Amino acid sequence: MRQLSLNVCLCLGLAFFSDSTLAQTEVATPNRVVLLTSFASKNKEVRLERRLEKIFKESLTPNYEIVVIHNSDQEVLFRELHNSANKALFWVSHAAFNRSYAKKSYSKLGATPTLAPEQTILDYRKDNVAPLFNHLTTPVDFLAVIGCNTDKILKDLELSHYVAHGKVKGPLELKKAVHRFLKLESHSPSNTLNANSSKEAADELVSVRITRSIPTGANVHHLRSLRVVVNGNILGVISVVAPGKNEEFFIQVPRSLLHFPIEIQSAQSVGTSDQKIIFGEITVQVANNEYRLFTRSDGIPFGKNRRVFLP
Amino acid sequence: MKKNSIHRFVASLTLLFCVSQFVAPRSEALVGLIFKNRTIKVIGGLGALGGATFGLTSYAAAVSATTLGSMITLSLFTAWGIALGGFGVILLDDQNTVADIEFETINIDQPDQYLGFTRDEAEIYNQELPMLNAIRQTIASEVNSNEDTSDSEALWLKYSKALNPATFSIAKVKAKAFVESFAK
Repeated sequence: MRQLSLNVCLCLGLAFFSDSTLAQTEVATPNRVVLLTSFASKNKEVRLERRLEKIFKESLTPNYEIVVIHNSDQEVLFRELHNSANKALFWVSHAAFNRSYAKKSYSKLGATPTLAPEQTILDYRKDNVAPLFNHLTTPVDFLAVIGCNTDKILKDLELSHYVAHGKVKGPLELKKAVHRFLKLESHSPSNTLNANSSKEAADELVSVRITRSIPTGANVHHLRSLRVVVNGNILGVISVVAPGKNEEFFIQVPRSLLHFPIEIQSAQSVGTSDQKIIFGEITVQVANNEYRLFTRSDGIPFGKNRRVFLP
Repeated sequence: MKKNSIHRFVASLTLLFCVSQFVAPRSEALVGLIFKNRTIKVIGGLGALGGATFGLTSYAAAVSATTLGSMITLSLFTAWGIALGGFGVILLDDQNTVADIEFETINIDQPDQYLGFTRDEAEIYNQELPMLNAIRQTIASEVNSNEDTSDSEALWLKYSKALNPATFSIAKVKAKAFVESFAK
């Protein structure tokens, strides 16, 4: 549960309604229920996607606004995780848990090791979206993450959410997850699994300006959205920018975290990092202070799937 | 007719087994290349600087203690999974994923996580963690494929100048403990 609370405030900038606002105005209860799948577009996996969609739609009553998005990536996932109109979110994809390595490191180096293996939940391009679920605070009431061993990968998730155990088959696991959601709904329709979200409203949010420009002629297949990470917390995702374009993004960062470096990371894991991802030229600015890119003495940035900016 | 069916079935099984044998070595090679020669070398080099006895024996122990075994097994499973896929079953596991190893945040409220260092030093370490991991990634992409850690050690000494000495010292201790845990 490390630093779980720190992330709580991250949602505040994205949460549209505070408790007091809710009390004063008539706001519809969120009833959007979203299925995100992410598989390579092979025949068998396309059939799997269709089957998952069918199960999802048939299992839920028309009372819900049902949304299904295939080929989801970290940008879609981040957006839906922080969409306060969502009541439930179901993610289905491949995942990998490095059992022997984790067992060694966790058992021999203590319960909270300071060197840990990366765990992976993979989108259709084999990019790793697992970090988006870590230290998570979301306005979504119910979250199901379905992939092999996601229970071991996502140890920090609240018990009320749903994670898969061991090797799983998507359709069966999705049925179980939907069943669990409906059961929880029947017991407590207004159940909010995210009870912590109101506790940490105190930390002031500061707007960080990030610009990203992509050179003309850049291969669009090597462009990806990038996440903004401060002290291990993913605070936002900046979109893909078209070649030859320059765009700016504003990310809300709690003031208490501003003394940490700001990382811009792709979702590549070591297993997928042979493909070159084009970061483009990135600047990070807080008020009038332009952050400095962490580079070697010859000016080449340190890191492979990340750029580190120093205050 | 019946005999032919059995022959076909046996032939299919044999073919499937052969396919699985082809898949496994490929996966092993991938893991060998990235894990053995990069990730382990990088942590091993830093651990050696921290005083770990990272000779060939412990190197072999570290490498064999990685997910090599499970990766190979997983590949075999995957080959069967692909076959099962014909009946509509896809296991949501992934066969070619290789883990990276990240330095993680020290819990300041647990002094046993930074024995021999002050709280201030541990806080500096936490603050410089992104830089430490960025350096680790850079070294991982620059080390050679030789089965010793001398190049990794040299790169750590070169690039660690960008870090606070406290961060580098703690990282060496963590890497040493990590490496030695596999040699035990």
